[in-house]
Amino acid sequence: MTNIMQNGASAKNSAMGANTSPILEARNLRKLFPVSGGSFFGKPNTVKALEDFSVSLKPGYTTALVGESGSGKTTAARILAGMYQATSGEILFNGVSSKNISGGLQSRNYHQHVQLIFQDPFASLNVAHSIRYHLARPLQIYHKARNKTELEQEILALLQRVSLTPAEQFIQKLPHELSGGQRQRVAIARALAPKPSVLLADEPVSMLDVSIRLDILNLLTRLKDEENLALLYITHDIASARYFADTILVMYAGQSIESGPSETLIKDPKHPYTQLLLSAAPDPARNSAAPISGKGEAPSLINPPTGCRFHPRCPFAKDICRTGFPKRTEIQKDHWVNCFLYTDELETVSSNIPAHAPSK
Amino acid sequence: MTAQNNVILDVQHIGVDYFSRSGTVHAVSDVSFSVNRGEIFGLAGESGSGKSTLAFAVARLLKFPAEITGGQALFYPKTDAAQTEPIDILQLNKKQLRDFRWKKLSIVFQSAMNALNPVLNVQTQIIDTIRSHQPHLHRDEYYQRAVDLVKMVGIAPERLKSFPHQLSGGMRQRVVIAIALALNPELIIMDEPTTALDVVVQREILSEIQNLKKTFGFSVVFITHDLSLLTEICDHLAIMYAGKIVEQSNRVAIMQNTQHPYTFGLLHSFPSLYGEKKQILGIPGHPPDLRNVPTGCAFNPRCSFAVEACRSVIPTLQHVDASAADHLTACHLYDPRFQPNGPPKSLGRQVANDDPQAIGTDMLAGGQ
Amino acid sequence: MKYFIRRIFFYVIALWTAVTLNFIIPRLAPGNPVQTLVGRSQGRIDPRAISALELQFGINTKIPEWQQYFSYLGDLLHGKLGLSFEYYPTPVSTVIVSHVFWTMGLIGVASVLSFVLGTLLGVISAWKQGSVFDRIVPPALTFLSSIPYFYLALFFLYFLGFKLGWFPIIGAYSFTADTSQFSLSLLFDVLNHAILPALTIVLVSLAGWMVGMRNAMLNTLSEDYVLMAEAKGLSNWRVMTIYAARNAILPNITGFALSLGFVVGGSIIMESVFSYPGIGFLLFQAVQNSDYPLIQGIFLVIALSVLAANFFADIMYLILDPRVRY
Repeated sequence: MTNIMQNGASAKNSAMGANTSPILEARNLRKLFPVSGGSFFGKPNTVKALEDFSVSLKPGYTTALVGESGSGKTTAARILAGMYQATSGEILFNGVSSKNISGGLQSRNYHQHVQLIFQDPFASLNVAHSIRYHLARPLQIYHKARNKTELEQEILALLQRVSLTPAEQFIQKLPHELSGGQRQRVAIARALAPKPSVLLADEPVSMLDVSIRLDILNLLTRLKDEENLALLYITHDIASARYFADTILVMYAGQSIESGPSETLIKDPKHPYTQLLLSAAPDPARNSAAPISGKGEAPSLINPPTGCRFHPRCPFAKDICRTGFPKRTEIQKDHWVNCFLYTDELETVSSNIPAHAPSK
Repeated sequence: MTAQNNVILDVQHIGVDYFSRSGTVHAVSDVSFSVNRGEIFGLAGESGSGKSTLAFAVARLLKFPAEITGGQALFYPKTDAAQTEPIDILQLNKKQLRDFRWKKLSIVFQSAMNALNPVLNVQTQIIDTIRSHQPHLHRDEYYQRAVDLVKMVGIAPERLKSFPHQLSGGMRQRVVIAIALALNPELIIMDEPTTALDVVVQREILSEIQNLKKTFGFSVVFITHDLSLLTEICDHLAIMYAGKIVEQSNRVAIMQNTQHPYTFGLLHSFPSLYGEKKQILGIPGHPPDLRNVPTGCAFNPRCSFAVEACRSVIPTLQHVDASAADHLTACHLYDPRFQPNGPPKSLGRQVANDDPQAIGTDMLAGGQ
Repeated sequence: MKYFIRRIFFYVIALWTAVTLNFIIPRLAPGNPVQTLVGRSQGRIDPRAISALELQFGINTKIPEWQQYFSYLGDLLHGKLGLSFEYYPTPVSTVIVSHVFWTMGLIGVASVLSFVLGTLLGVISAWKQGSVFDRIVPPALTFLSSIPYFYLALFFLYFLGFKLGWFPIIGAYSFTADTSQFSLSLLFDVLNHAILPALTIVLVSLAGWMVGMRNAMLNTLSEDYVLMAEAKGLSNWRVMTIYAARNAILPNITGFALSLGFVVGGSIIMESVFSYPGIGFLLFQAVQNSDYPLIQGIFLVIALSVLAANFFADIMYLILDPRVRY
C-alpha cells in the first residue's frame, strides 16, 4: 500500500483544461424549493437555493466546491447525483444532455456512472445489514458479477481497494462494529462498485476524527488516479480543498462567485468573500492576525439580498452591487470571478490579508 | 500547587469510569492539570479522548452510568477576606453545589442547537438563571440585565422575545455564551462551542470571547478537537488520548517543541493554507475503542516511533525538557531506560520547517 | 397564523362532509322507516296517519332531494334532529341532551383525572428512574390496564358494590332522588353513584398515559437543554417541570385532546354494566329498537365532538409549542 504519492495536481496543472473533455457538466443550474408560509392567497414562498450554477468535471481531476452552510453546494451535488430535479438549466453527461434523470433505464445508466458519497458515515449505512450486503447490492443492480462466487470475489476486491484488510474479516461485520473512518471506507467502496466515472463526495470527512481525515482523502485521490475518475469534493474547509483539489469553486448563498486553480485562488483571492473565508480559516502556520471585517451571517435564501448576495457584508460594496449580479471576469486563464470590483476597472484590489510568510 | 493567586482551578488525579454491560470503561484515568487565572486553557483530543467527560466531571454534571472514581478538583475563588480556603468541588453538597454553579463556574455547551429549551424564549432562559441565584430583584432589573447580556454578545435586544428555532446557529451560540456570563463567573468551561458553526462565524465568536475575557477577566477551559484553533487562542494546552493527558505545555512550546508523537501527528493533520504545499498523512489507524484499550501506551499501535516498552509499560506524564518548566509529556521516547538514544530527530522541530522526506519515512512505519 | 387559518378551513370542510354523509346514508338504506314504525306499533297507529308521518319524517315526499337537503341543513342549524321513534314524539335533540350531560360529566371527568394522574405518575417515574417507585408502579398499572374492562367493572361491581355494599350498583342517582332542582344532597348522591364507574375507567386507562409520559420524559431528560438547566443551578422542581415535562408532554396532550372526542361516544360497556344513563347506553338501545332518527342524531353528535376535540388539540399544540406557530 503506497502512502507516498505524487501530488496529482502539480503534474496535471499544466495540462489543465487543455485536452480532456469534461465527462459531467452542469450548465446554469437553478433550484428553487417551495416552502410553507407566505401569504395565504399569494404565491408560495421559495428558497432560492441555487442560482446559475455551472461546473465542469474532467476525468482524473478533483474539483472542490467550497462554501459555508446555505451556499448551495450540497444542493448542487444532489442535483448532479440525480436526487433533485433542477428548476432550470441542464446537465450534460458525456456531452449528452440529461434533462430528466429520475426514473427509467436512462437514469440507471446515469446513476451507474455518477455516484455520491455522503457526509455522515453513521447514517449512510443500514444498521441492520452486513458489509457484504451493502456491497453486494450495487454489484447486483448493475450486473457486475455473474454468480455468487464472482460476487464474493468482487466484494473482497473492493474492500481491499479501500484498505479494509483483512477483507474476509470485514465482510461479515455490521456497521456498528466499525469505526467512523472504516464506515466511510465502506461507503466509498459501495460507490466504487458500479465502476463509476464520477464521484461526488459531499463533505466526506467532516464528521470523522481529525487524525484520520487525511487518510480518507488520500484514499480518494489514489482511487481517482487509478481509475481516472472525475472527483467533486464538497467541503467548507478551504485548506483541505487547497490540498486535494486541482480547481476550487467558491460559492456563497447559492451563487458561484469565484473559481480557479487551487494554488492561484488561495495565493491571490479576488472576491471579497474568498478573502474573508481565507482569513477566517484557522491555520497553525500563521499568528493570530485580525481577520477582515465581514460581520454578519449568511442571508436567508427565502428573501435573499438583490443582486450580489454578499453585498450587505462586503466592505467594498457599491450601489451597483445591489442591482444586478456581475458577469464573469476572467482574471487569467481558468481563474474567473463574479464581482463588480473587477468588471469596470481592471486594476486589482490590493489584497487585504496580512502578509503571510510561512513561519520561519 | 499551593493556593497562589495565580491558579484558579487545580485538578488532581481525576478518574471517571463508565459502567456498561460489556465491562467498565475508563473514560478518564488519572488526569491532573491546573488553570491559571485569566488564561485560556485548551483541552484537545478526538473521540474517546475523555476531554468532555473530564470537564463534566469537574463541573459535577456526570450522571449514572458515569462515576468519578477518584481525585479532587480545587477551585480558588478571588480572595476576599472571608475565603482563603479553596472550594473542593467534588465534595460540595447539593445546596453548596447550586450556589457554586454558574456563580463561580459556568458552562457553554456543545451544539447550542440543543442547549436551549425550545419552548421558552431567550429572555426567559436568561432570566431564570439570574432569578434562581438572586431571587429578590425587581422584574425590571432582571430584564435590564438580560438586555445588557445580549448586547454584550452582539445580539439586538429585540431578539429577546424570540424562540431558539427562530435564531441562526451563530446567534444561538451567542445566547448560550450570554447565559454563561449571566452571573459573572470566574471560570467558564466551553465544550466545542464553535464546532457546529461556519468558519467565518466561528472566527467572530472566538474574537468575541477574547474581548469578553479581556473585559471581565474570567478564565476559560476550551475543549475542542480542532488543535489548530487552540494553538491560535490558548495560553496553555493539554492533549488527551484515550482518557489520559499525553502532552501539556504552553502554546509556543507545543508548536515549536512538540514532544509526543500523537501531538506531532495531530498538528500535521491540518493542511496549511499558506506555506509550501507538502504532503501530509495524518495518523494511521483510528482512535481507540475505550472498551479495548491497547496495553502499555494506548497510542502505540498508531505510533511510528514505538519501541518494545511502549506495548507493555504505561508512560507517566513527566517533565522531560530542561528548558520549559511547564512542559510535560507521557512518552517513553524521553525515558533513557527505554530509549537510550533519545527522541528521533524529526520530532521537536517547528511545524512549518519539517522536512517532507523525513516525515514520510518516519510515518510510513505506522501504516496499516 | 397561516397554520391556524388552514386548519379552520379543514374543519369547515370536514364538518360539512359529516353533515352531508349523515343526510345521505339513511336515505340509501333500503326500506321505509315509517313502515317499520307502523309495523312495530302493532296496529296502534292508524294507517291513515302514515302519510302524515311520512311528511313529518321527510320520506316519500314530492320535494326533490336537494331541497330536502337544504331544509335538513336549515333544521340542523336550529338544532332540530328529527323525532325519535322510540320516544315518539320526543325530538331527538331532547333525548340526546338529557343523556349527554351524564356522559360528559362522568367520562369527561374520569378522562381528565386519568390523564392528569397518569401524566404526573409518568413524570415522577421518569425523574426517579430505576427507583423503587419506578420499578413497581408502571408494571402494576400496566397489569391493571390489561384486564378487560368489563371484567374489572363487573369485579368491582360485585365486590365493592354488592358484597361490601360500599357503593350503589345502578344508575346515576337514586330512584328516590329529586332531579328537578339542584341541591346539595342531590350532588352528593350523584357523586356517590359516579365513583365506581369512574374508578374503573380511571384504573384501566391510567397505564396508557403514564407509560407514554414516562417514555417521552426519559427522552427529554437526556436532552442537552435539561443538562444545561441543571448546570445553571436551577431548582430541581423547575428543571423537572418547565424544562423537561413541558417538552415531554406535547405528544401526550394531542393524544388526550383526541381521546376527549370519544368521550361523547361514551363507554357502552361501562354504561351497560352500571346501567348508567349515558349516550352509550342510549345508542345501544336505539340500535336494538331500530330508532333511526336517534341513531343518526347520535352519530352526528359523535362526529361533531370528535371534530371539536381535534380542533381543540390543534389549538393546544399551537399554544404549547412555539415551533409550530412560526
